[in-house]
Amino acid sequence: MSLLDPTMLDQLLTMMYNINPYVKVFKMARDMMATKGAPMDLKLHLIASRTKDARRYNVPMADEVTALMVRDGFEAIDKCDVVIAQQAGPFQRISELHVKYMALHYPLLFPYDEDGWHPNIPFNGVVLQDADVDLDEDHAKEFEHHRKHHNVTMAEFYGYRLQHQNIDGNALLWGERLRQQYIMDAYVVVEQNRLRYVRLNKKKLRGDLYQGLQDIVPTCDNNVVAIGHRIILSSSFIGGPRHMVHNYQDAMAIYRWACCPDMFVTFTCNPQWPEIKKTLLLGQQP
Amino acid sequence: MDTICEFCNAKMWIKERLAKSNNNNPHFSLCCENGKIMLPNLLTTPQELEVFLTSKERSAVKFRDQIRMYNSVLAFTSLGAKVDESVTRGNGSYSFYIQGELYHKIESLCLVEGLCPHFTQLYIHDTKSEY
Repeated sequence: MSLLDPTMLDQLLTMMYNINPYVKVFKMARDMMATKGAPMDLKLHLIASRTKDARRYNVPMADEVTALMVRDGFEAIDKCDVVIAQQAGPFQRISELHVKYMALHYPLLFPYDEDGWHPNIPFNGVVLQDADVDLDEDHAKEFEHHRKHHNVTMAEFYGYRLQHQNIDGNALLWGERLRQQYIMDAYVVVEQNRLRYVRLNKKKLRGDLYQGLQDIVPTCDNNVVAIGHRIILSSSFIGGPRHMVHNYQDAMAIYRWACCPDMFVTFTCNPQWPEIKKTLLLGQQP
Repeated sequence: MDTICEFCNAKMWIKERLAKSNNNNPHFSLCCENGKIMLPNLLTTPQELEVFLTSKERSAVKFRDQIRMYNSVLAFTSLGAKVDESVTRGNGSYSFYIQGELYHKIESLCLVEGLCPHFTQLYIHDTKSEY
């Protein structure tokens, strides 16, 4: 494995020091620690919730994303907030609901620390309660009617971000392998959240009615804990075994209705197609 | 990809349009759910980074080959998971097999004695490069 180019790394670091709000804060922390007689327990507070409407174009400022605190300021308010202490054991886990979850991990794709997904991104046209956006009643009503949820979901967010848009911020598209890593990471985050939903909403999904659990309860006296709990992925959970069986049975029903298939068609795509080559960005190759 | 989504400017193939819309006025749900999702665009890529990402020069091509390593050097957080090593050994393509959840973790500001600075700590303790 060849080593990284130091001059290139130096250029990238200079760039980060110039534009990245987090790096600026870390530099501030360093300067404070270097000062003589500085208090020893410094805490950095990475704030998760943004007070402004994140749909609008705004560059995160250093004091908006972090707070530098001395001694026992306030602890994390939100469960997604991150407080980095000077010495806080080996490491701290970052919640995937934190607005900077991706930006902190992919500084080359998001050099300005652009916001990632957080639970309160409203749909376009849905009015934030305390925001000073013009009210468009008809539009809002239409949304009330059509959608059960008014916030952008994680999958929708990442789907939007990964589109090939006509904009100037293309680092995410040029990222090559880093982009693939980002996509994988986004997939994992979405999947983990779907699984967590199934785990935390067993009551709603009525998992106890599945065969086995209810029958066992009367037979094993009071020792219910020993049964453990079973989490069943419903057939609407894409990728789960029930989903596969569901699709398979659908396919068999179609077969019974339409008789034997004559052909089995598969599609492939040649990345050398001129249509594909035409839309590639500068420097990209299939 | 000859069609542009009128809401979010995404480049789409015409055949990706919603069945309800027509060729002259196509609507798409893949990109922005037909205008329902509207997020701020990513900011213009900094000039120096753009050169590294697009140039055909040898150094830039090499940079793109190693982009994940460069990113790890600059990242504030690191990846954590319980990795199952039993499948990573042997021949064939590499597979990354984990149990439980994948997460990002961040370390404290100060060094643990005896270890080299890493991730966030690099920005604080790497005093060789003063900016």
